[in-house]
Formats: sequence, structure tokens, C-alpha cells
Amino acid sequence: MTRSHPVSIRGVLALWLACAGVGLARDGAAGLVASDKGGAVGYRHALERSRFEVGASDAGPRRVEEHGFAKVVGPRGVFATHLRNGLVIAVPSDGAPKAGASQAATEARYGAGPDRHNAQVLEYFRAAGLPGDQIGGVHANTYLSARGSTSELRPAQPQVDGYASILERKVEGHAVVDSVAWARLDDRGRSISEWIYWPPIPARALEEARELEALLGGAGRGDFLARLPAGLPPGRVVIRHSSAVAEGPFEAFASYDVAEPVSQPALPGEQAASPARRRASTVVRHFDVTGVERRLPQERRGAGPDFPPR
Amino acid sequence: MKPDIPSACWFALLLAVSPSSAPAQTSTDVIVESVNDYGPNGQLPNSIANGDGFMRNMVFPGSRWTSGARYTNSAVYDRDFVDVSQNALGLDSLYFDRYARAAAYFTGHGITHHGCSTVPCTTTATCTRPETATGGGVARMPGTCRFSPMDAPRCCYMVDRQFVTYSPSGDRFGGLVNYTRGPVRFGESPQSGGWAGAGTDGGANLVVLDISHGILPPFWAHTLVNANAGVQLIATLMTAGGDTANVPDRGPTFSMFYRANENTRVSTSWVQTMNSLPANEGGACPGGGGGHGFNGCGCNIIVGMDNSPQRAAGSMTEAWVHLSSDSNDALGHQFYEARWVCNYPLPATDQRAWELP
Repeated sequence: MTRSHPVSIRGVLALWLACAGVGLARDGAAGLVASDKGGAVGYRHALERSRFEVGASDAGPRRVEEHGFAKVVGPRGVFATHLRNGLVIAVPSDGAPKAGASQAATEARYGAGPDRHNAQVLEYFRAAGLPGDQIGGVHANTYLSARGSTSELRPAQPQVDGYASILERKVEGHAVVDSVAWARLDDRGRSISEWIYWPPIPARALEEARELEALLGGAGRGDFLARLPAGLPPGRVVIRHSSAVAEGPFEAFASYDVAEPVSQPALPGEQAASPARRRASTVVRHFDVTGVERRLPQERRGAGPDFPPR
Repeated sequence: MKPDIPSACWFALLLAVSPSSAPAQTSTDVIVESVNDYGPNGQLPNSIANGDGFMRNMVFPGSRWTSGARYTNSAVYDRDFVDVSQNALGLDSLYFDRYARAAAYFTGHGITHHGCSTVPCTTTATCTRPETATGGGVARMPGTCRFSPMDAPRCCYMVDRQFVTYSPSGDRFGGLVNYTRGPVRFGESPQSGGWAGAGTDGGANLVVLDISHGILPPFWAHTLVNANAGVQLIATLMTAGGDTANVPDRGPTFSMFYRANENTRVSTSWVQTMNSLPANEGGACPGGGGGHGFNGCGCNIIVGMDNSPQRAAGSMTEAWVHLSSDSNDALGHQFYEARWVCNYPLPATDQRAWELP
């Protein structure tokens, strides 16, 4: 079993503050990031806390601001911190043109299995200073590859190349859906790639989550659900916020999230197919404590025109 | 609203965009075609935000990419993806697969045809009766004893993959784009040559089909071989028992890797996009996992094809900085290399991830 290793380490945060030198960060600095009073702290990653190596050179790593990121650039990779929201992306500079790619397609492998990888990543991020009491679980995604001739009737069996382990964030028992921290490690425990976006959560969002939970657990449940569009499946109370790739000011709110199935359009000759058979996708809808549907910043479509005209 | 293009104008238009006079070695244009509105058939509310987000993180001041085109909803025609050499109604050399396209991104509906029967199996050798498939479409050999965390092993068969547009005035193929056996050819260019029988009037180097059920396992090569006519990479989604979540941030997350490091691999950027999408959105994958842009179990997959195993493997090493170079265009489609990341754990030692051999 690799999913949901619940972490119940009360006091981890205090321990780190006292013993590991993890201080509350000012804007732009690494470490814990303060929220408003009653909110939940965030975490900002930094190269000195990372197991990602940009590589050594005589001149040392280069520091540049480029494409909206503050980057530490070495011969092996880039450690990039988003200038506006603190997102960290660390990825290798391992590209090569097709003609020059002699065996360059070979990637670092990880052979110890997903459970071991999960444990290593959990330990890594805890040691880096990510608040342990906000880690609700960890699970692994699997990297695979396959190759062969396109004329083969039977495809070659794929191989497992490695894992990424992803931390799930919880605050006061509520999933903070849009916070993401993951790392892919090699056999020596070094980070091959990582992505960390763990912003502070304002007190208001936590208050709303408590209100929603109380509403759904009490006499107001029926009234609340009656305000939602008919026919929706059951949902759950979560905290949503601007994603790492959203533009505009940071937003966070508590939501009753509902995953609504979407059917594909009826295809020619298949008009009679039932919506259940045509189920092709899912859309997650968000309702606030008043039952009003909300759109996250990343979900708001731009009003720009199509171009060029045709 | 796009005007209908009279056939008499076709040749003039083709001449206007023809690369024959000065073949470019570099492609920088980005096109995004996104469909939210499927009319009475319903809505995918996040497609346009998704496509626009991809464009936003590709094209910005200081970027190496340029803004090629953006079409939404009923301005997305099925003809935009059809090769004129395969069907005279095709417009791909003007739109999706136009010369000098670096990246061409479609986000909208795929189709649910799965080619599966209810016949249980213990080996693929017994899966020889495509007429038993019940999932829609025209099932054919090869068969597979497919399983997933959501499905017990049962015989499934190859079935064409398609995506869906909705433009009552502009569609000419029923709103369906069949990229498995239909008139779709991506990336044929002067640099790739005309080996695919589609001329050299294309140009897309990277095609992204951000759709449900873009590939069903284990047919990653069968599904895309005909569409590969010189394109360097095709990225899409592969479901393994679940369905795709229509999310707004798959596209911008993918291109955010470019902003962070243009020397990192495009292939890795696509598959790792999965890791970076919310884990707690959408349904679980039995046995652990789920989410990350899927409801249930699924994978981000990318496939490169070329005329040798080395060049096919080389497509996986291309960084963003190499994507613009048409010298990386495929010279054939005899060999493939595929990479993918799935939203659930598989043991390191068991390679039977999809079918019983």
C-alpha cells in the first residue's frame, strides 16, 4: 500500500523552529512563510535545502532572473523560483538534439519500488522544513517507457523507470487541493526533479471550511444542498487556492467540491448511446459556504479574441 | 466566424503559405485550438483556460516562441486537422499543422470507444475475436488481454482514436477527427520529406492532444503511426480505467517547465506535468493514486517516431530549445519511443502493467 501514510506528528513544526533553524520567512526568503493570524503557514523551498544538484563548474552556478523566475543555473540543471508566488521547479538540463542523442535517452532509474521512494521523499521534505503537521499523505506516480518497431503486431512490454512521490497537504483535516510538492529521486537519494508550491493559507479560508463542515454536519445540510444545482453527486469540503500557474492576486477559499461527470457528444450513428456509456470526462465544481458556485483564478477564461481572423 | 474557403482559392492560399520558396529551418509559432462549448451536448468549461494557459507560458516577452493562432469553440473546425493530401476538404496546412508551427495544442473532447469485450482472459493469445467488443467504434485486431487497477483482465481490441469539435457551420467530418486511420498527417515538412505521402506542406513539431482517452493501452504505436508524417513528438493522455478530468492547468503547467528551464526535455516536461496537477481532485485509482488530471487511473504519455531506433529515442531527449529546429523532424515512422507517467504505483520489477502476455 503506497497511498495515504497519515502523518500525525504533533510538535514537528515547533521542533523544527527550535532545533533546525527554520525561521518564519520574510517575503521572498526560503523556509516557513507566515500567514495572517489564525491562518496556516506556508513553505518556500530553497537550493540550500534541496537534494537537487545544479552541478559544479569553475565559475560556480550562475544566478539570473529570466522568464519570471529567479534561477540558479549550473551545468546539470536549473533551480528556478517563481518571482511572484514562490513556486520552485528544479529540473535537469539534460536535453540534446535528436542527431546528437547517443544513448542520451537513457535516464536515471530507481529500482527500490514505490514504498521506499515515498518514504525517502517524505523524509527529504520533512528535513527540508516543510511543515510536518500539514502532510496528509504521500503517494507515488510511476514513470514508464517502451520502444520498438511500429510494424510489430504486439507492442513491447514497457519498463518501469522510476517514481515521483507527491505529498498531499491537509490543514485542520481539510485537503488543500492546489498545494503540490513532489520529487523524483535516483537510486542514491538525489533529487532528479522537483516541484514545490505550498503557499500560506489565510485564516478566512480555514474559518469558511469550519463553517461548511458544521453546515453539512448539522441541520443546515438540507438547505445547503438544496441551493446547489440538481443532480450533482456528493462532494466534500476542501480548501482551494490559486494554482502555481494562475495569474493575478492569490485567492483561497473553502469549497464544497463536486466531481461532475461529463458525457462526450453523441456521435453520428450512436445517438441512442446512454450518457453513462458516453462518459468521457469529469469537471470539478466549487461551491462556497453560501452555495454560490465559484471559479478558481486558473479556471477563468480570458476574454481575448480568436486570431488571426479567418 | 471563419469564412468558407472556395476551392478555387485553395491553390492560391497554399501557394501563399508554401515553404517551397524558402524552407525555414526554425519553427516558432504556437497554435491553440480549444473547445468548451459542445452546444446541446454539453460543456467542458476548462478547455479554453487550459489552452490559453499553455499559450501564455509559451509566448511572452523574451520567449523564443511566437503567437501563431488561437481558435475557440465553433471557430475550431474538424477540417483544421485534416490533411489536404488525404482529403480535399482538409485545412491543416493553414491551421493546426501549418508550416513553422513549433507546437500545436488541441484541448477538448476525445471519444469513449474502448474496444473491450466482457470476455475474461488470462493471456492475450486468446483475444482473437474483435466482433465481441461492445464499447463502440469498429474493433479490430490486434487484441490484448487488458487490465488496470479498475478492470479485471478481459479481451480488448484496437479501435480508432478520435477527438471532437463542435462547429455546425465549419465542420465537414461530423465533428470527428480520426487520427488513427483517418485523413490526419502531422509534421510533413521540407526537412522531414514527403515519405508519408502527404506532401511537405505541414510543419507542427510538437502536437498535444489534451483529450480523454487519447491512447488506450497498449496501442501507443498503433494509434499514432499514421498521423506521424514528420512530427517530432505527440503528447496525449492515456486512460487506464478512469476518465480524464477537464482541468484548466494542464497546458500552463506543461509550458511552465519551459519558462523554468528551456534546456530540459520536452518529453519529461509533459509526463511530469501530471505530478504537478492536484492529487486530490477527481476520483481515486483503486490500490492507491488517482487525480492529477484524471478521475480514476490514467497517464500522461508522449511518443516519438522516426526511421531508426536511435532517432526515435533521440526524440525523447529534445529540449525545448531543440523543438524549434526542423532538423529534428522525423524521417520516417518505422520505430517509436514512448514515455509516460501514471497516477498510481506499479512495482519496479513487474512489467505486466497493462496486459497479460
